[in-house]
Amino acid sequence: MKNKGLSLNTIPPLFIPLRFFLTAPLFGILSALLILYHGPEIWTSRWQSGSLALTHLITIGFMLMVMIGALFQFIPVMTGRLVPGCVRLVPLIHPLLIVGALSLCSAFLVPIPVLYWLAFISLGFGLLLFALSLMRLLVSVFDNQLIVFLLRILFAVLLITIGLGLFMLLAYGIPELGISFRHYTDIHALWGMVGWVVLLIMAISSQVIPMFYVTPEFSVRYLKVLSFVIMVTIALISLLKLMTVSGSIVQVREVINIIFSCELTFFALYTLYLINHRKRKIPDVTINSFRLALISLLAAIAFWWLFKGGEQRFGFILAIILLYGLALSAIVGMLQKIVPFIIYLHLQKLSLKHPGTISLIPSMKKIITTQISQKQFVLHLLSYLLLLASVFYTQLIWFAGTFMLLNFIWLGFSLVQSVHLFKRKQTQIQTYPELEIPSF
Amino acid sequence: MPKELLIDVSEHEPPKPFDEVTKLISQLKQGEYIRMLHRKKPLPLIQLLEENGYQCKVNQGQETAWEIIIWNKQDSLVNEYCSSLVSS
Repeated sequence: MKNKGLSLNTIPPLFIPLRFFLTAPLFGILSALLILYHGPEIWTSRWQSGSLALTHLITIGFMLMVMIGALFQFIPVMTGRLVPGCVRLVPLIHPLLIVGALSLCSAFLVPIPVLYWLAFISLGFGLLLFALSLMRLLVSVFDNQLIVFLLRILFAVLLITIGLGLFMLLAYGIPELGISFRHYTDIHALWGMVGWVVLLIMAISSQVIPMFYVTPEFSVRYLKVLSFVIMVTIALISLLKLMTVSGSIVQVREVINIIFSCELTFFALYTLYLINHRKRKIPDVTINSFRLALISLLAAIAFWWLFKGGEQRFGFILAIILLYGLALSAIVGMLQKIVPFIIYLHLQKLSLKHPGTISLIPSMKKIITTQISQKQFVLHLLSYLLLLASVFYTQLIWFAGTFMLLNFIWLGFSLVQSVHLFKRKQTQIQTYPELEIPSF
Repeated sequence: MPKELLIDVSEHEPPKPFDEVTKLISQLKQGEYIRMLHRKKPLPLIQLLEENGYQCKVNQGQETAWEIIIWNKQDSLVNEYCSSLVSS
């Protein structure tokens, strides 16, 4: 491959992904404040308004926000082309997502119909724009790269999750329709909390782990087959959930559950194996976030088999393990790698235009230092463990909420200070020739 | 015959390959080109080099997954030689 005439465009403007990354910790802070506001009653029922608002602040406000930002950054690096129309669409998608997440969570807390409608319209429209921007990529056949394949699966799963969510929003917004939305809540949660979360982690891991930690590559064929099989399995489980329970259905359901657990266990063990076989075992605290995520996936599977159909609080434990332990651990770890990397990349781009400035570019470890990452991991782990404990010892909720708040404040601080460093270095590089002119 | 500067970054985490290549580029003399061994196809690096007067050719490698040949477009001797290298 000779790149003559290919006109690579792999580096989107810095604030395209960064605006999503910088917004996400704010939703994390809001979710911690919500826990502190509600106190122990947050774990009283999954239908409790605070629990619903909390789940969606985390999933839409934090996870979806970061995922969209990361895709606008990763796709060009992998395919050599910017996401079509991203420069024009991102300034619309980003505020729509913020308004959608805020109005949805407010609607759970203060059930005013107009808030449901605002959430329905802004989330629906924002995600439609996002889907349109990715559509050209998803329907065109590039060189059948793994990331494009995983994106197609991820996108299908996300579409089903959000489709079910929007359908339930309609039921909330127009109670006269008489839609029994609770019937679909389990299926919505299955596609979102298990399907989307696991496939998102799979997509992140397949790109971030071999690239930043120099592990052996994931088997492309294995990940393609696994991601497809996971989607099909979730579809089967959903169909069985809709069917009337009879003896044979229960048996089929159990068999599918065993298969599904094996698929997820194998993915977690395989990824842990790759991490442990890094070619150069350079100490890096952020890799612990990925280890924690994968161990959480294994814990979730074990927990589900041990306590399925048990008390409601076991459902909360499972949700905390999947969202906070699996998804958020991996995302927090990823942010501490990709934000310094893209800042470095933009400074390199600038430096190449200003000869002699290469020494002004900080290393990635100076953009987000090891000390910052260490504190982040400790705060994340502590808040995770406290959240789990608070389901059983409800008075611990105050500590859990406080450490969760500190975790997201620290994440926001680490990202904002790296942007300040970028601005400072950008000015130094741009003014470098002037500094070199001797004054007489 | 142009002189080849070999650099193996296949076991380096980002952005070390970037650092090493940009340092080597700044020392590149007339009649020299770089052969970079990499485990990935570093598209952002290739883009930045091409925007700054260098030409890159990406081949599937033998020792590592990818081999990237980098040379200065203005260097006619190297230009002719590197352009003739077989792409896979």
